[in-house]
Amino acid sequence: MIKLRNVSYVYMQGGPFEKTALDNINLEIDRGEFIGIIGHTGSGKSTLIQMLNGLLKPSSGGIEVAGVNLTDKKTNLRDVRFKVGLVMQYPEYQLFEETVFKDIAFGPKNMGLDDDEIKKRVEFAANTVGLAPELLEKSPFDLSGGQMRRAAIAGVLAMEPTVLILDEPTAGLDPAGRDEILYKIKDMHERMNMTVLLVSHSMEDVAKLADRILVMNSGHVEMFDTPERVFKNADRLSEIGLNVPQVTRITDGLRKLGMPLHEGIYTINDAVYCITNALRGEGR
Amino acid sequence: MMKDITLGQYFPGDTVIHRLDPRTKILVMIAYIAITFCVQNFWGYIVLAAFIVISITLSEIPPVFVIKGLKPIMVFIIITGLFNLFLTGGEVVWQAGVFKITKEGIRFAAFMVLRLTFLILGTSLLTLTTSPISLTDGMYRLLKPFSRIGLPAHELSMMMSIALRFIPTLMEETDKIMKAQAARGADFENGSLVQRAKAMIPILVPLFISAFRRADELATAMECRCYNGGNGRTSLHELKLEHRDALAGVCMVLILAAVIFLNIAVK
Repeated sequence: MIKLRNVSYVYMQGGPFEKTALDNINLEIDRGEFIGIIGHTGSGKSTLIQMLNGLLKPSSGGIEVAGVNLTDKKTNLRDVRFKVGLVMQYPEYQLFEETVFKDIAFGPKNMGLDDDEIKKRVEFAANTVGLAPELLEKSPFDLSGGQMRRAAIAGVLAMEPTVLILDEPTAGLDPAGRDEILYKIKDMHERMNMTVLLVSHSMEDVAKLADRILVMNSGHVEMFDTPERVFKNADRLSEIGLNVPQVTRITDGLRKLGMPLHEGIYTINDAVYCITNALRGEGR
Repeated sequence: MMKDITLGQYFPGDTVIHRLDPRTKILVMIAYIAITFCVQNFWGYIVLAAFIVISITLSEIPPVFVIKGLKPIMVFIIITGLFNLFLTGGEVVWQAGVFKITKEGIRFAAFMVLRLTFLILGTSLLTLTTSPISLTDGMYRLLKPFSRIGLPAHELSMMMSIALRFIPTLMEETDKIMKAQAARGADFENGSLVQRAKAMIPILVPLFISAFRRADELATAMECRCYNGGNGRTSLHELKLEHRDALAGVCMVLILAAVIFLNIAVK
């Protein structure tokens, strides 16, 4: 689905402030995968995801998304952007239309769809992110922060992309809003067989949702593996300014105290199961 | 596209030119601008050219950066030049239909183009070698005496520093919004003029909203820290005049004298 070959990106090449944001990245992501992307601020996450829909062009290397070569000059990047939906950080600041409906319809309209189809898609997208139908006729600037965020995400979903990339979609939301948006994303991923890339600073969130986790560190791919195997490397993760989920820290601590737990426990359910087993084993 | 704007872009350094007191630099710049308009023959421009070349060399700024400042104003310079070239009356040298070029026209056009070019070169040299903060600081000090007659010197300089401070922020913001809308298939490059103007709406509306929001937040933050204007405010970097400032002033007087002499001597 997504293939990156030796991709590098250099900001302001040749200038006095030259900076390598990505250095020789090789990646392969399959259709329908849920990928969590974590990394320290400035590790190249944002640069990487902006490359996947052609907003940035790599300084060298090749990118292929859904069978389309993005580095080919003949490729129409607009078509790619309809296939690869990108929700940037704080997307509510990009709302501009008079009504929420019109704003969500902006993407589908640019695709050249007819009015019936646009209406269908807008309603579907609004429903998917949990926006009440009566909000659609309101001005986007009258919504609450959480509702604005949902409207902005719906604006990308309405294009019905095959790949959905979200850059910290829950930053600055309250816990309830955060959980609900993440749940909706997971739900969509399962129902529509979308490939999802989720950038997040919350280890708990990526642990809960992702099939595989991509760990970025100063422009390199540090790890790209299942949550279990990634969160086994607690020491390395904290070296590069990251962490493991809280529950992993607890189970790691318990293991150090002598409880027979295996490494890389990253969900609460798993932890409960393992700890109860371990306690039962001791009790016997 | 956003990175082409040199005006107001400080190029850090530690040279004589950089270290000059901002007040001196502003006054020198005002004198320089006045002189560009005084010059009446090409010899005078040679003096100015020498001044600019020497200043650029002293400031150790790559000349490309100074020349880049001309780019945004190039169209304006060319149009002014063409207008003067074709519309000045006098001794005709070349004629085709309604278009005619006169001797005076050539002279006038060359003068206007040179004048504008020197103006821009000089002012971009000022902004390249002076950080916006010290520039407004200098401006404030120069205007302060006028506050007795009711000029809001402190408010003016505060407004300027805030405006300058937010230029990069807003440019970054524009870039982000453009990318976000492009991700939804907005097309800024193709289509008729009307279509392209319309394509700006999805950028301008969020940009204005965010500018207002930022202004509001900044005002609150300033009030939270008990900002109440310039009364009794001291500054971290006190400005002090040095020998080099006197030297710069003397240079300017000499250049003025040279230009006036050349104006009279060469007819």
